[in-house]
Amino acid sequence: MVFIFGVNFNEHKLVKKALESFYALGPQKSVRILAKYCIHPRAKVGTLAPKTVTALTAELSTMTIEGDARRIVQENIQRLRDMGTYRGRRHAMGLPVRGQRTRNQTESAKRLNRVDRRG
Amino acid sequence: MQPTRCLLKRSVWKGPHIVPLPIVRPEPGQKVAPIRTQARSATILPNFVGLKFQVHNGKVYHDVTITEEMVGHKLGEFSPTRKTFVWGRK
Amino acid sequence: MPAPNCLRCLARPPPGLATPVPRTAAAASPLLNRPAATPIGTRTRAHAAPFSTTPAPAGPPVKPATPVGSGGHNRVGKKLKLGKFKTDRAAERSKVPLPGERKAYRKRITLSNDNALPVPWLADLTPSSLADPANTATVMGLPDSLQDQLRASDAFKPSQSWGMFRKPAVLVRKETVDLVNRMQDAADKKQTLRLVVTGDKVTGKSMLLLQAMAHAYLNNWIVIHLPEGQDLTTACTEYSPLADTDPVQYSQPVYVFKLIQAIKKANENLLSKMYTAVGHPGLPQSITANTSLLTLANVAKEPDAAWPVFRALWHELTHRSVARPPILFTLDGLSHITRVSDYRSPAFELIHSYDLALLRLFTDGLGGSLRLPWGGAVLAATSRSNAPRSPSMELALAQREAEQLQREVPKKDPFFRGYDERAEASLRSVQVLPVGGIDKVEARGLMEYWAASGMLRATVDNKSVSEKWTLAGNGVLGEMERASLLTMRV
Repeated sequence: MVFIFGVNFNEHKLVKKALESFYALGPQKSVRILAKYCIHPRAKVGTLAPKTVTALTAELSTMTIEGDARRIVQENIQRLRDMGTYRGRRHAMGLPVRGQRTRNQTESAKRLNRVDRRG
Repeated sequence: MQPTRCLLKRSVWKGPHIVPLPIVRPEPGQKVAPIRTQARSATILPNFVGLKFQVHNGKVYHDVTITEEMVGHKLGEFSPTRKTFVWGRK
Repeated sequence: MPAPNCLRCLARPPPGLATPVPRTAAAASPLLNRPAATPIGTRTRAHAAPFSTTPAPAGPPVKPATPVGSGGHNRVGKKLKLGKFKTDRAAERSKVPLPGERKAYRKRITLSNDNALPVPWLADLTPSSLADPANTATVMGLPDSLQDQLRASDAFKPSQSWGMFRKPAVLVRKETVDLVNRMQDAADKKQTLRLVVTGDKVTGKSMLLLQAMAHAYLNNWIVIHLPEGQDLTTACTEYSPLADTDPVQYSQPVYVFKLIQAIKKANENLLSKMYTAVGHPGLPQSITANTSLLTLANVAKEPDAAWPVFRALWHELTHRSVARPPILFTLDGLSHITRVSDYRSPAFELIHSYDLALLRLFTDGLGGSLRLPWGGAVLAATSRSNAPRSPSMELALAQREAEQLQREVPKKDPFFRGYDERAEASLRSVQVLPVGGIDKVEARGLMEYWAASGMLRATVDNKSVSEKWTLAGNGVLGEMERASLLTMRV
């Protein structure tokens, strides 16, 4: 088990996938981080040197990920809600925001759209 | 939010959608009647801030007071056009 | 003990004899009579005897049970089956092999088959036999020590059907003799042979490389073999920038570490008899002059130290002041390295394969800017089955081949942008050895060997030889194998 940024990862997990498990850190950013620290894309977490692990943790702590990123999204939605816009209302109702139909297939909207958005 | 997101809304060379509205600057101590308009697609410009609009939703006119953070949105966003369906409501 | 039954037989009495044996033995050995009363354990064992057809003599009468899976009609009530296509995922998942097990199975190499007939006339390779034109069209076996060396350096490939014969053996072809003689000439003159083996699919390019390595091992050369160019460039192994290089080069610590292990294992005898000419203080363990090279190689205890040790080893092997054996440096799968690799630099730019330090060493050798002072050869083989397009390599090889045959040299396509300058530069002065089909004499020698091993069940005469030769597209080796050896494989 290896700790990166306070999260425990299995040694057989790919470093790329481990990085992408953080909120607001996708494929684009993760490949750049890998290149920056000269980690090959198929590296497993277990093969990282302790030095690299601390460097990765330091790098991640400078980025807006996880809680910070979530807060930004929530603030944006809250702003729409406070202004009283149509988009804010739709978020509050848990319905699609951008004019999609609501007869069926609104599962993603039901799951995600709310004022204090989680996912 | 990516900076490009805002640019994707409308071509840059067009600029914001400006509609000529009868805007009267209120003199201090005077009350000005709200501006009644049907131009829902008019972009809210910085000089609208503090004014009152009555924005048509197809049936009635909703009162909207423009605040600073509304700049860049459209007037229509603040005047809902649909009524939620509720059983038994007339 | 005069008893006709030994204790082992008592333990598993044959069902037919179970009663008579104690009776005959009773008079002679009353002691043995008691165990012959068959304790429960032995009786159950008799049941389990695999070939017994008669029912057991003693024991409670067995109910005629419905035969399970014996072909009889099995009446089962109707079952409600919901989700017809659903399988038991949990049961399937429990069978998943351990990490690395699948790959190990895929890459395993069997070098002998006990069911194949030994071939009495099969002679082993000797140091000079591959260079002797008289041996053309004969099949020769690889001696055991050579097998170990070749296996250590990963020269065998799983696709080469070594596992069909009693003993690994190779066919000496005209190209083999040619290549080996060129290598030997270069080594005698202390020059470097720079050569690329190329040819169509399954014509035996890798096999030719293996034969070159066999010759080198038998003649006490130092052999360094990179078994797959792909391993180095597809971003599957670790890499790290080297501090003192400009433009930055990258070492591949884990790969080089394994390579050093392979070199050590394959060239152990030679390395232990050679001694360092200068000291190497910079390594993790300081090495003074006049230490054996094996000790130097042993300094690489972990991947981080691998590249400096490899540099030091290379420096020693190419040192001018002490007599050293010739070096054979080989690589299979050339087109993987004559292009931009999949690695990315910290600035997120793709790294050219030639900026990987180990490949730089190889391509410098192939391009001629690196000379081996004690002679030797830098060989590369192209691959046709697992190879990315490498237009500049293809063009360069076609040009060199045309130059050798004094034909019109193909030109670069002026409208094509995918050429790689650095790859062209490194292939500007190499020799090319085109490999094609074997001729009928060689085909006959090979088929006779197959027939003698019992793998080809047909008479080998002119007719059958030329039939297979033609079927195989004028003697393409792999196709001949497919046409005659692998026909039974399902």
